[in-house]
Amino acid sequence: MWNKPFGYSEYILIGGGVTFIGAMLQITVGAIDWSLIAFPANVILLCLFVAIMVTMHLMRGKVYLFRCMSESRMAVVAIATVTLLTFIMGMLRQDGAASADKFSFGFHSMLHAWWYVLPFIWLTLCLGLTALRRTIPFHFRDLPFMLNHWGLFVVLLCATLGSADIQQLNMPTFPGKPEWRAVDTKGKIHELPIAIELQKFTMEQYPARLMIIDNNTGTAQPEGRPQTLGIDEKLGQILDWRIKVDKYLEYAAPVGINGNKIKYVGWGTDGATDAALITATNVKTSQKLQGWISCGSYLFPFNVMKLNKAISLVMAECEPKKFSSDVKIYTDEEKVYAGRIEVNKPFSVMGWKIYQLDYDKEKGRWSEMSTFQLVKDPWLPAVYAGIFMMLAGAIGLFLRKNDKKQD
Amino acid sequence: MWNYFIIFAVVAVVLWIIGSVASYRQSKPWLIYGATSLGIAVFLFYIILLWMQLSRPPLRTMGETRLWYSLFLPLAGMATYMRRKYRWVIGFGTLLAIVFICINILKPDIQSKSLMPALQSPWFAPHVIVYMFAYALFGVAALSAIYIQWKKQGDMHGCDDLVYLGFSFLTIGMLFGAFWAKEAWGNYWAWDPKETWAAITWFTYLIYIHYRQVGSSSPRTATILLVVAFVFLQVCWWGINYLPAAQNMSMHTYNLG
Repeated sequence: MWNKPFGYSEYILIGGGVTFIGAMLQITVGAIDWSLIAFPANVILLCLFVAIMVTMHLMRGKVYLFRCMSESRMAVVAIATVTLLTFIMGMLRQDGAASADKFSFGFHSMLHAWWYVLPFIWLTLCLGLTALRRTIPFHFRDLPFMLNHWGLFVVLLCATLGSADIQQLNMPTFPGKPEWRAVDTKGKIHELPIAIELQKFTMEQYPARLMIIDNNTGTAQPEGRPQTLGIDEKLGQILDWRIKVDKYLEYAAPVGINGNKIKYVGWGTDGATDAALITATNVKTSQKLQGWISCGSYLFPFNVMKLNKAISLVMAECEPKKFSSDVKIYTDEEKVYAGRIEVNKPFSVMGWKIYQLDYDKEKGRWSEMSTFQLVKDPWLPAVYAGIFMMLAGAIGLFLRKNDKKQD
Repeated sequence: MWNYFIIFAVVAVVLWIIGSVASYRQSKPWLIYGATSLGIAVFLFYIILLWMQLSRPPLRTMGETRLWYSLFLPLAGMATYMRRKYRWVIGFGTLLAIVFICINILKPDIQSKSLMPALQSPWFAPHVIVYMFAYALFGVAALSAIYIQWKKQGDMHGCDDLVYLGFSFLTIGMLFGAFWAKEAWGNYWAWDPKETWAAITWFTYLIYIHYRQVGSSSPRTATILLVVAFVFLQVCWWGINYLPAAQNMSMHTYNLG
């Protein structure tokens, strides 16, 4: 043991040791509170980390351990340690910061546990030292290696240190009422240098779908492999019933209640529901039924077509295809922007990205509320720089010269 | 369209088997490459038809991702054959493709045209297709490694090729996912269970790559690593839906409906 050159057993002991130190820290100091490293502490830590790394690199001739840290076997053990710990994380339910109790060992909040984070720091240090060793002296042929290693180094370091500076706030808005306050995950209200005024919330829906359900259980039929029929398909068959769509109204309201018969007419205002006139024919018995069905809205109840004692034809609630908010954004620099925010298309202003998050689900397409998420991540450009390096490195891997063993 | 799947699948599989047998018997190259490529073309043609019928990329349900996987497997096998001339490798790609085609025949997912707003993104198709290609390469790599160990013949260089290529695609798929997540959810990485398992898989292949750099690496350990990594990959792809720790926790749940 501990004879030079070190082998796997020594490296595994080092990996275990780092994790053990992490566990001791967890017991004595308690869970990591990431908010403590918010700016400027994270910048100081970054400088410190790089300074330590460069010093270790310079002293690698004198200190054997520092030399080992950029060795392939060390990389294998460092990555394996982190993988094993991440595997534990994948197997256990993670409850996030909420359960990061100062005195818990952190199995359910591993991102706040010293024994998870410390091996990551160790891996990042090994990674940085390896990248440094291959960068000085510079050889053009090592470029893919540098991009892969420096890229991951930048991503790991900046994403971790930058996480404390990320602001993520939710802001519900209503038409015509500019809002400048937003709530963070802990429920604290923040006043922002920008205000959002909702002009209009719009939702497009997919055409309604028809299905047959069991009258007692409500489960879609055939059980286990339910069939549906798009209203735009106009004609189809589910189980023994041939279904024909005679009329489809996208905006409708029920009228003329005559005994049990409900009829729907076109109606274009708030609360309108989808409705369809259906003819259902049983292919075995030739029994024919006709009637209106509707999925209902917050204003009107749904309406089903009872086919027999056991089953009914129903219209499922329409799935949203697209929802967006037309907004005006005011800044404290007295600038006004107009734009549309939708899922996958956030709006950027003054370092904030504004996302379409939610709406009043109860009211669906008639929602008068639109909730936005506002995210500010000052370290994003650095993380993206690392990601682009990794992408370039991945292409380099792809084009790699074959079979050249590198150590 | 889904009802016609079996016809296209059978034609493609027959062509792939012809290609596999031809390569195993070291027949004429035109027969090996011709039959395998034609099978791939037939299968791809079906995917394109399905795409047109659904009016969206067929990448949403598990069944749809399995289609791409089955498409890429023989392609990965053929690419390895071109480079390394392992006569059994197209056969392995075909074998694994048949397994996933059978799953699709026995358990087709409900095909609906709808695509929820979060999936309507230019990143959707590249993210999933690149991942599926990586998965196919890793599948062939794992089977090849087991075969090499079992027969005690050949070296691991072919597996290295597959892993390097697969790893570059895996990395690209993951990073595309990060860009997309930032646009859709506001975070490029959130340690969602799917992301955690993607990290586990990515790290395990990274161990393999570094392990093979060490001069004295044992092919046996390398093979074990490839098999373990492949199991992790399956957990990440679909096994996660059955993991108690990941129930109702993941944002990546579009493929369940």
